Amino acid sequence: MITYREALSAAMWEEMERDEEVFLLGEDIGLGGGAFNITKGFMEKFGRDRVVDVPLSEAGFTGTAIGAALCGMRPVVEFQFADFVTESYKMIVDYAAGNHYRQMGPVPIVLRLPAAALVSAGPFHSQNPEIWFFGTPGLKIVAPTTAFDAKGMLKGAIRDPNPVIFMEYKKFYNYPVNELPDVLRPEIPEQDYTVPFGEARTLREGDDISLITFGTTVLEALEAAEVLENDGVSVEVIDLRTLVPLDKEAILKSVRKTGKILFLHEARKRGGVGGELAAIVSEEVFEYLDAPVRRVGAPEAHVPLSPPLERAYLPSTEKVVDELRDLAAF
Amino acid sequence: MYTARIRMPRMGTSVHESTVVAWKKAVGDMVAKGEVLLSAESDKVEFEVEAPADGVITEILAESEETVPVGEVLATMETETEVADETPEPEKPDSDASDWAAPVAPLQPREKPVIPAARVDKTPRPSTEGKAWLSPRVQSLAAAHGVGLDVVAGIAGTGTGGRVTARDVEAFIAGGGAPPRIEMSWAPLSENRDERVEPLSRVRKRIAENLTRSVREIPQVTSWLEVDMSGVSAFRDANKEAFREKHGANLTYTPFFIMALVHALRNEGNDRFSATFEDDALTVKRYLNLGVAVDSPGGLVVPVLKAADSMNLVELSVRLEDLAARAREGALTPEDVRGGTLTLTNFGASGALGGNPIINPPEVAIIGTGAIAPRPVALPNGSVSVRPMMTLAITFDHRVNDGMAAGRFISDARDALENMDFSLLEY
Amino acid sequence: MDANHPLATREELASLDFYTDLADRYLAVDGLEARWVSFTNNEILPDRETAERMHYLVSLARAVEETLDSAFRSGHIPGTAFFGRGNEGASVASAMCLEEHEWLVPMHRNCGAHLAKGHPPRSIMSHFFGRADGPSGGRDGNFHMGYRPKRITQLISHIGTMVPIATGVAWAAKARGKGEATINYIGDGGTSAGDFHEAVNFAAVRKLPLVIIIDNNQYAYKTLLSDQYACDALVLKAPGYGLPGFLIDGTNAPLVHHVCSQALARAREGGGPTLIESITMRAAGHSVYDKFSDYVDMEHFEKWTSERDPIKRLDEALIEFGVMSVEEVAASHDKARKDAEDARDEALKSPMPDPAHLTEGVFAE
Repeated sequence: MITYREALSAAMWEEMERDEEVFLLGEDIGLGGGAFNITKGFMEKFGRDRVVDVPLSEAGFTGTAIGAALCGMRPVVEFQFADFVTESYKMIVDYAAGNHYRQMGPVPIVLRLPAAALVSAGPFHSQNPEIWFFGTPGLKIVAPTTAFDAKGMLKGAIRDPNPVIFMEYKKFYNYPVNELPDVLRPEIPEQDYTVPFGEARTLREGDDISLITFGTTVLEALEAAEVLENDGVSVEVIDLRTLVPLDKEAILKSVRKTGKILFLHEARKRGGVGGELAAIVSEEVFEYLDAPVRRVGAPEAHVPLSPPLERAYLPSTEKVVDELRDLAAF
Repeated sequence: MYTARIRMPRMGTSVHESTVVAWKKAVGDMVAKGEVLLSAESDKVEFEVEAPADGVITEILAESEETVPVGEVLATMETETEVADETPEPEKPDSDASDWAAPVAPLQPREKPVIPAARVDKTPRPSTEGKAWLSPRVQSLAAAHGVGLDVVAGIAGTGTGGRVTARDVEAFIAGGGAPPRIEMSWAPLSENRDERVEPLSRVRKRIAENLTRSVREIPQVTSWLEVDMSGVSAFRDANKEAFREKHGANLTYTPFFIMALVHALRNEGNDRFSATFEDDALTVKRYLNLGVAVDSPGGLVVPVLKAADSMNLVELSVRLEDLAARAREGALTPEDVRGGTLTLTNFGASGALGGNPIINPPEVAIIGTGAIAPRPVALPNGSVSVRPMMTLAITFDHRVNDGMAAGRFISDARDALENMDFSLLEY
Repeated sequence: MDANHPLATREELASLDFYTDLADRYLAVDGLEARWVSFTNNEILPDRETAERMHYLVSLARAVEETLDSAFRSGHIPGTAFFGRGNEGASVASAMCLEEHEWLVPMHRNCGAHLAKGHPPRSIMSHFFGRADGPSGGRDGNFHMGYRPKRITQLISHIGTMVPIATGVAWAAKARGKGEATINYIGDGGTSAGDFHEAVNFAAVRKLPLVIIIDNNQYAYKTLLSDQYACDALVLKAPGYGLPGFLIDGTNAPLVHHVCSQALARAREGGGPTLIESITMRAAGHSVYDKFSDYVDMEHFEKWTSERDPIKRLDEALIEFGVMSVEEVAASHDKARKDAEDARDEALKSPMPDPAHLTEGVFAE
């Protein structure tokens, strides 16, 4: 079994061998192999014109990637941390996202964003960028949580004709495979494969409460579901895997079964994806609800660095269990 | 020939007036479509006004240097073709458009949208008045299984604050709380497709004779009204267990009907319904021998509860149970079925809401009671409530009684049922 | 002079003499051979075929914009409109140097560049009129447009953003090794945006085949040059990036053509980017709503437009050196005017977009 990080490397390696138009841009990715060693050895193999060490200029190199994509190339842009994508916001949201809508052709670009909290990474290395992009049409937003998804979705993103916000989770990069729950380490096939966007994955079947999540919080979700099982409550856990396109039917189907739903994500509740999903549920399956739609997300604060603060900030298994028990009793 | 009006155009959202800078044409000039008539400026932009069609200028109404509101007529022309006269809509002043020098120039002035009125259905939905809140899922489940919301609201809830949860409803339904769904079948009733002949039994023959005689001889009319059984129902629910323990008889609704009829018969004019009519003479009985229709294995039998007007709740219950038991066992004596002065039939036992009972001659009336079922009721204050309702019917012999009297009689009986003072009952 | 009056800054502007004697300010950096040449030198005049095409396109650029301006005033253009009056010569003469398969990354004062690269006037008109058959199908308007069939990228409102896009286009050209180059325009205001710096730096580092033309038209909307930058000339930024730079008179179309041809040739051969500062004057407001007489020194404006109108100068040069006759020049203007008006009439017959398609095409399939 390979790690999530190795899966990302393998995806890019194979795609670069497959298609000469694929090239990588990012800070320190060539000589240095990247801040997380994901592109270690790439420059030796593919040369400095396909593994491009760029000057410190996120807006500039994102725009450069978009320009190359307009001409049909397949750039993969690595941001050292997802947080730095704010430098490139207008390039992505105003140029790349709308180019096809304005009938100026596709922009096949992948933006790799190492996202979410690790341990004490602080306010500028811990953020969840989906909240900045979720409202913009024309961007696909994906959030692989397993090595299988990381590889298959990165390959899918590179082959996709649209700009893809590819959130990858630092927490999973080197997560010991043996310690992952079985459901989070599916077998990786030998042959080439991609993971289609817009298909959620049920990590655990259940009848009483639907727990919908994506990103790092799949771990907390599974732990909490186990606790609730001992309480005699059966929790269904769904990993959305991609936010745009959204597997709306998976959510609605689960709600129709359970009547109770909890959305869980690491990002803040306010402006978080859970709010939109909650609205969809109440618009489309209101008559199936047996309890208010609930959310667990970060509170109204910036991601703090000091351990007690960070622990209090991040969604935890305890918080999820509390919320699930409330819902179960409702 | 047509007359065209040249108006001051609106050059931008927040422009309310513009100034004529210079006329390029004079009265009497021939102009071609698109030719510049005058130049003008607003506080934002310099612009020119063109001729809308070929023609001759007939009048100039705004001089150079004159500032005129948007939409004002600047000149008139005589034209070969008709030119639509478009008055720019007055624009609402916008807050601070002058800050932004590139506002949107409207192609057409905004028209206020015309949206036809629609009726919003405000019919009150069945209410669960006073009961716990029912979640959308609970309500959907109830509807899907044909269980009334009042029934659902009555389930002992296991949710927060005793709320009825969807799981509670599912358990209720699974436990037989709701009627099982009925599967439709398209199989023939019988493979043989033959017929069956059933000769009438003796009991059945007598029933047939009696009913045929009744219908043939008596011009009979049925009236009915609705009775709110909330009070009786609540009293009965609260006391039936204890009653049974104490008296060894079931506390059914029938004694309450009888008490109400007795009460009504006491009112002036109503006594003509406990009577017999034979040989062109009406005999009004000053007592009540009440025939009670009982469904027995052999068919309908009507044992008579003698002197029902002299019995209290306990006696009525015990005697009724005795009569009904004997009727079902076929153990009635001829004496038991003679001497009735009025009959009561509870077609509600069959589930029927209403019915049209037939008089048992020589009696002159028969009272029918329908099923007691929750129904929405408009209350005097205009609100709607779900109550256990029952229809109360009377069929009377029109030869000896009229509709007014019959209506008064069952109205009095209804009032007695709805307003019964249970504190005075002995039980 | 009242210090609070805007005229005080006009005085300052007037003291900047680069528009009166460009030759003195010509800069050659990095040893690149190029000389200031005045338009009286017939050595830089293009051949007859090129000159005729240049003349027609420059005249067409103005005719198209004037037709659009009058269409705006008749209410046919939703939104607003920006024009490049005064920039037609530089815009046409530079974009003409691109080959068919090379990309153009224009700005909003580059009607001439669009036309020179082959964007049909009919399509431009439809775009301005918000019609279904315009290049964006009515999803954007005015000069926020591109034209894919002729490899013209689209412009977005964010000034500066197009320079990194151009760098990327140049990257693709270089990566594919076909010896192609690209041109990108940016205004004097746009050079202050961070994107300009990030992109020019990266293009220089990687020696990308890119020619960046700073159209210095003396105003960024209503902001004076003296409020925009402190160096004597924007071209002085070139040595800072390790690039060759040229300061040229952008109202002299043959000169622009001459310099751009050389810069593009250098780019195609792998010599890297060139920065060209082309001095023009915006002979109109920032947009159709802008009353520029409020803040532009009208005396300077009158003098500039009478002496340095790019069309007038091209007419005179071509006639003086016998490239075209007086009649041919007049006929070229007439044809341009007619073509622009025909394009307008055709475009006005085009259908408006159907709201049923509002949400289509958000994603590429």
